[in-house]
Amino acid sequence: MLCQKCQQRPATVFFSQTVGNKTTQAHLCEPCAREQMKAQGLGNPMALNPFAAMANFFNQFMGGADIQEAAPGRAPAPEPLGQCPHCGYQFSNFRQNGRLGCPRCYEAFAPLLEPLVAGLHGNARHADEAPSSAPPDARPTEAELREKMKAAIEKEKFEEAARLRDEIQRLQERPNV
Amino acid sequence: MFEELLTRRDDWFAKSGPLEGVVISSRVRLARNLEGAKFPHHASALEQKEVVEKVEAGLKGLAPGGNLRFVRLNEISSLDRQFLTEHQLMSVEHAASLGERAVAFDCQEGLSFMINEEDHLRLQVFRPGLNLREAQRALERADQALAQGLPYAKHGRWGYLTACPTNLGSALRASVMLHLPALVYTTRIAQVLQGVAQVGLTIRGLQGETTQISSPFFQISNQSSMGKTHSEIVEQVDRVARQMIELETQTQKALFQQEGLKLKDHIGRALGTLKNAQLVPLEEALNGLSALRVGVEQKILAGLDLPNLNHLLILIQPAHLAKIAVRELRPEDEAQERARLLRMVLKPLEPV
Repeated sequence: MLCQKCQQRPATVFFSQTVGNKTTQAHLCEPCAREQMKAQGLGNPMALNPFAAMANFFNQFMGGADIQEAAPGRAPAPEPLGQCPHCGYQFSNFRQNGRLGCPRCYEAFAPLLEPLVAGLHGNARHADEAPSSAPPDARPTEAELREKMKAAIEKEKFEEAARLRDEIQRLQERPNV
Repeated sequence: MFEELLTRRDDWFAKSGPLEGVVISSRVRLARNLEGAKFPHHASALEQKEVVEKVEAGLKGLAPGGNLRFVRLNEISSLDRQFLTEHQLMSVEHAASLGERAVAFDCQEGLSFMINEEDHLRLQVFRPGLNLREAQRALERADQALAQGLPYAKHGRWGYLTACPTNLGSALRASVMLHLPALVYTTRIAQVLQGVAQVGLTIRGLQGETTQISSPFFQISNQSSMGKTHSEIVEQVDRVARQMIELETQTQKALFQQEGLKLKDHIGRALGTLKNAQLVPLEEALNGLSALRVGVEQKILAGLDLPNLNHLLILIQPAHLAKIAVRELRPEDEAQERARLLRMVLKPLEPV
């Protein structure tokens, strides 16, 4: 999704503000979100931006590594986390455009992405669907069929309505089949 | 190209659907990416092309997609791209971007696939009226069939891996396009927008990306798809949509009791304008058609049904008008062409 304000950069921030009984919502990019917050005098814009906050964290991390490297007698700096070994994508690009380079970037940048994903989605875990077995509610419910039947009658599609009536009857007779 | 789509009467949006008095359409989409391949924005033209070819091969094995039409975007004109966007088959971003991209669609089934949009594959299903569950089932069938041949990138805890982390999880978005003229007229819409935001759903205007209330058409959809099954997401959006339908219906009823004459006058004037005007800008057409929808729904007008009016909502857009006129249109020609189309199609619509 593109930023709703500039229509140029991808939207990475969901902005929602309620004033009185009026709620404004927008999907914005980082620069536009910051501008919007500044315009409305809303505290430190970085604080509400998970991507920017992550980048700060990342910069501190890298800064720390440099200091370590400079100190004599220390172990060499850990492998920098700035680049995906699979696709060569720089984490700094993610900060710019909110997109990763390839699916494996998620592994490569896992420690950096962890708090960000939690910020976006909470600590929920992906709820897997079982693709091989259809979920129990895969069949239309009686209410849905009734709605369709009503629509069919209104449109004078009586053949269709009769078929739906039979389907409803079957459902009533054998609700769990 | 695509002229045949103008006259097809079996397009999904030309059909009736449940609760169509308030709901224009239901849409469910999934985002999928191929393991080991760079996301489109980071991939070279060659790498993008490989993805297009892989997905094209995968789509050939798709069961209900026997009638799928596969189109490489760099092989069609910008007018054709805009036309496919207006026809709801792909996003504005997809039409505007460069590189090796494609779209595949079956209008009759309301099914379309965007290849190399933000993700390698975005598949979506439309249904007329409020019918998210049926759209979900059709989408799952397509997704499962494709998963046989395409290695989807997936993470144990984060689900389907997408170019932007906002789409992680099942990467499913369910949306419903609602027509809420009474809520806009009474300004109760402000409360509704607030309520929708509080339950974690997003609401947008007709074109998908703006919150300006310029026409009474709104789209609600879920924000996050993490930690919820397809059915849970669909149920939630469906539930909120039903509440909004109830509210709109009640408000419309009360309005007609209180100021019926004024509303009938408004609807009559809209009909008079659209049946006679010589130049009709897009916004005027949208607002006029909104009034006519209410007229048909309240049985004040007869002669056309709601799917006819839904079809018009698509036909009055610029690229469709250019196809109908069989020439390029300057803005003033466009308003003229739109007026001509409206006069022709609305002819049978009369006050009861």
